[in-house]
Amino acid sequence: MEAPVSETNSDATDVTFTAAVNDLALATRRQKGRELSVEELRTYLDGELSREQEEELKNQLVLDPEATNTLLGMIAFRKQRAAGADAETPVADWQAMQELLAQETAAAETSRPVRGVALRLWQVAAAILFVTSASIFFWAQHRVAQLTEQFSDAHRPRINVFQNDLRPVDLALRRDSDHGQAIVLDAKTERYVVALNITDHGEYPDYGVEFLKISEEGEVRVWGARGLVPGPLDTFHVEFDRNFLPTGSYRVQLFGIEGDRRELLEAYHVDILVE
Amino acid sequence: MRDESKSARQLVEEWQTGHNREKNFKSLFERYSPPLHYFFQKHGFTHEDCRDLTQQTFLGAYRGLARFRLDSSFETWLFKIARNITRNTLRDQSAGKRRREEVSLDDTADDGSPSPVNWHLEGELVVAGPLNGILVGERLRLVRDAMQELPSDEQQCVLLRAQGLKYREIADVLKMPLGTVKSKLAKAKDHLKELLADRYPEIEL
Repeated sequence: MEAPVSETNSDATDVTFTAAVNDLALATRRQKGRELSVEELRTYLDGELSREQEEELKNQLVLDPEATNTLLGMIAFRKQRAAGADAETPVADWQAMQELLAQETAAAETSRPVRGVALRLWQVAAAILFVTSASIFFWAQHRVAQLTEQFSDAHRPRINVFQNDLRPVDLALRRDSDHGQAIVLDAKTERYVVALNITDHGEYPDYGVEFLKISEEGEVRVWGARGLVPGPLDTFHVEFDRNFLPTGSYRVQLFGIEGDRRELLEAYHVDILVE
Repeated sequence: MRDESKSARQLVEEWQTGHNREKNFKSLFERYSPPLHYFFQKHGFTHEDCRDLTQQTFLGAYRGLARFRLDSSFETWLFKIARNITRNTLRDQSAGKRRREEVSLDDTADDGSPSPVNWHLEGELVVAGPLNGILVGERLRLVRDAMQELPSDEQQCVLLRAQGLKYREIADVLKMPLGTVKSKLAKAKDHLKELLADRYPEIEL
């Protein structure tokens, strides 16, 4: 994917007036920090704001190309609807979309257990899962004992913490069909952060994450937690000690939690490797 | 055949109840993919990328549609997804960019007069190299001082024009007649030329 036009002009010697204005807008926006939500833009478009509120919103809007572009997209949609017809969507676009949706549905089907079709197979799988879980349990106890010894160092600040942005599984698959995204730990990396990107996390009172190790026997849950809070860029972050997750392939699942209900929001595929 | 008669809300409700899922999703896609494509285009993405990002947005919507609560509009929700996808994509792309240094503009003079856009130059400004930083700081102070001389609506027009918006788009965004936008930009241009003649003899707006 090609990089879009940069919004920052760092060369001071030869810039146009408009580039200088954009730099000024960028500096001002960074200072202010707050961004306009899509809902605020909708209220502006729908004329739900007072004159003063509208003026205030406009003054923020003109400093923020992202919000301006969002608003323009919304305006384009409204104009199209007002004209009484949708703009032409190329047939090929819908066909490509259908293919993506078919892959999505197929992926969901394979991860869903098929009731009654192969009960014995299911029982065998459960037994394998039990044995594997038991092994993991004993292994985890061993690891906990090891980690306990290291706890005296746990509160020290860490430098060079390695951050890994995980994209949802479909994007990773489109770039590399057989493997997940790789996290390569070099000898210096003691801890690393995994950032879970998600297009829309919805509104849940709580969020949880689960790491499932993928092996020939199936998937085994090695770690999970709840209490995740989305960061300012709507991503979730987990920091790991390098020894906590053994090398291998993992499926990472992000959940929205409401009472006893747990909803899968996004899945990621990651390979943890040691250099 | 498109279903023009149903609102987005109806299409989503029917999809959620499992009724004509493909048809309803297709209607949503046909209705919203052109403005989304335009949205990504405005961010400077290529045509192919816009197609790809539009599909990613709908894939995100497809995944979340079952739990989408209709207390906000589908349009708002969809653009929120598109915005997050844009951010993630831009962040991926900028991850490898060169390291930049920062320069403080703490010494910026402020005469205390209220500014409609409420300019701030006190914070950090990312530029390349300390000398370059000083030059940029100088340039920005000059432009800011000139911009503060303009009335609020002219400032708004200039800022949007600098973002690359067409006159028609500025008129839409600011809810102004097209003629008003043209006249405000012409006035602003004349005024700025006077103020910035030494630095910017040619101002294209």
